[in-house]
Amino acid sequence: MNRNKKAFLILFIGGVAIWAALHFQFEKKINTAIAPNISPLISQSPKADRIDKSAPSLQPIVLNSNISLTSFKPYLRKIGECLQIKNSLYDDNELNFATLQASLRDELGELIANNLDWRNVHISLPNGEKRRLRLEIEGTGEEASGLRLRYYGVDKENLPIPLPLSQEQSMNPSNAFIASLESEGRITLQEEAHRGAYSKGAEIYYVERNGILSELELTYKGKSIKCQELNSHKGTCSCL
Amino acid sequence: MGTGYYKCLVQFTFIVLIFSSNISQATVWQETDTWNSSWEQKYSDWIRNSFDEGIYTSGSFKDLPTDCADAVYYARIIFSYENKLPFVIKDATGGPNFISNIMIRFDDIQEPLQRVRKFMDFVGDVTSTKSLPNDTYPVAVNRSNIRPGTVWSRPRISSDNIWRRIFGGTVKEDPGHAEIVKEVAETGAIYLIGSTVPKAIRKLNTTSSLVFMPVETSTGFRNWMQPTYYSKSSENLPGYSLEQFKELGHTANDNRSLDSWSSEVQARLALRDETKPEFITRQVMSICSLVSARVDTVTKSEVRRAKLSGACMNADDYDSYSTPSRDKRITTTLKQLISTAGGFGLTSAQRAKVLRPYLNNACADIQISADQTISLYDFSILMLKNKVSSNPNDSFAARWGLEDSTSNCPKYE
Repeated sequence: MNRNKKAFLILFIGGVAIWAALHFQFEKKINTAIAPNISPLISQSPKADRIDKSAPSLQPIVLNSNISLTSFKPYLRKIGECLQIKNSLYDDNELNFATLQASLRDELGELIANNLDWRNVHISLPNGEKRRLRLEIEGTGEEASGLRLRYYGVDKENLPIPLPLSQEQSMNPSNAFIASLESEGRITLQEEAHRGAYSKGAEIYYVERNGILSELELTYKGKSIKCQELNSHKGTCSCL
Repeated sequence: MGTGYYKCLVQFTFIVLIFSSNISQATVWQETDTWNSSWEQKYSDWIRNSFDEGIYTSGSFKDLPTDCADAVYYARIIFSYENKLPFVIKDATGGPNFISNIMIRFDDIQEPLQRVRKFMDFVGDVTSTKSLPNDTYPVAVNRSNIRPGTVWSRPRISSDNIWRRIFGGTVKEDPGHAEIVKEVAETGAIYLIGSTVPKAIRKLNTTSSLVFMPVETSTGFRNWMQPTYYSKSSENLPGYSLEQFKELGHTANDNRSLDSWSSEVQARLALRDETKPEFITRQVMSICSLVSARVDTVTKSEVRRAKLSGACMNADDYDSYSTPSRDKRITTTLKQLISTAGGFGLTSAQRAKVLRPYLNNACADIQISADQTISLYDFSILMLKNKVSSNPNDSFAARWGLEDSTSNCPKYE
């Protein structure tokens, strides 16, 4: 074999080896990311530029954690300024719907409707497997809707796998059935969104994660305020 | 170097290549490019030119059942798949990872098209109009942002329903709706294409009427999040704006109304004024499309009614086969249309006569059964005279206004 042929062969094999090594690395990354505990998205992605590493955290809050939250007071003040109401301001850090209600009640009246929009529940079973429930108001006809329950397992990539339910279990399920699924293990995440209306005409949409208010949109007399990521240090409110 | 060693190296290379090719299949599809403004324009062109009403009833994606949100998500998936672009959405079940084309669950399906169809089934199962706000963002109203491919979405119950509930009306919730902008005409008129509920294999429907005004920021005209956008704040996304929710649609007394909002949006998007004949033709086409799509629901309703042999439909059946929203939309559009015909003191039906040539020329007679057709003009007159029944317990003829409603069954509206 002449020298050129040998050099070509070495280069070719070297190239193949590097390519293969990169692929193995990619595979390894996926397997690392799908470890039993929830892992950040970035480590799952084979291409770092798909989603920036500074992506907002989607990690669920652990129940009863001692997460340090900023005070709700600045947000309550912004809500008042935006909607031009004199809502009560509190100094405590209870960033929950009850605090919001207490602040708004005198100005907006009683909450006379408060309907579930959607709800996610994550459950860790005693055997280590995971389950998820999603409840959602779903359209069933042109003007008809019902409460749809979807039930999921979780795969190696921490993504939901639909598990079968009967029509009776899935559409407008009984509270007892939902409770029976929730009691199969330890609840690791609860998040739910509600839509409501106040007696003086205001409307609200809000999301709670593990009992902590994370998002809200409040509309009153033509003014709207939208607050996001309240359960993190990046919470913001925009007055529309 | 000996021949044996050379053979060994070649064999090793061959094995590595085979093994590596297996690894490269461990995704729904391999992306080879990334989303950018050029690809967004191509997506827009594809929606305008290739995404037609039969996309889920013929061709590669035949027999895919859709509801309105599915039709929107699937369009983005198909284009991403066919052009080897990433498809990335948030996991609406609350998981921290993103659902994307690189997920490995379907890697045992060898045939690429079957693999992507399975992936679409999965995405359809975990998404809805309520997840669309996570994967799209609201944009300013101009021709750069609102174009074919833009999503028109309303994942909410209406306040009317809330008040109806509060003051003792029937407990109903508007399940939300989503469509795709198919075309933005020179006149600023927007054509929307979409599916509906319940989820079924069906042709899509194209209309040009915006039936709601965006109030909440999770609604309205929205563009897709590209994968890298999820890490950015909303304010930094191209075209991001909340103006549709606050600045548009104000009337003289400062309230906001759908009519004002629609007119203002059209004016913003218009390159020229819409002539009266153009307006009439557009509205007629919209009504024609709505009535044609009604045929399928009424036909299925008739099959169900026959199976029940005279028994009343229960609430679920009633919800599935009644057509109150569609009929209301047809009536509203008809009234908008005939208001252009003038004729002070005339009834709606009398004014509609003026528009008869338009109604019948722009829309072929509608085949309502194997051996029966109805002209759009005749149907419109029956509709305006409140002869048309949206009640699925009524006879086929009553559903089309050809005889009076006779059902005594309970209504679930």
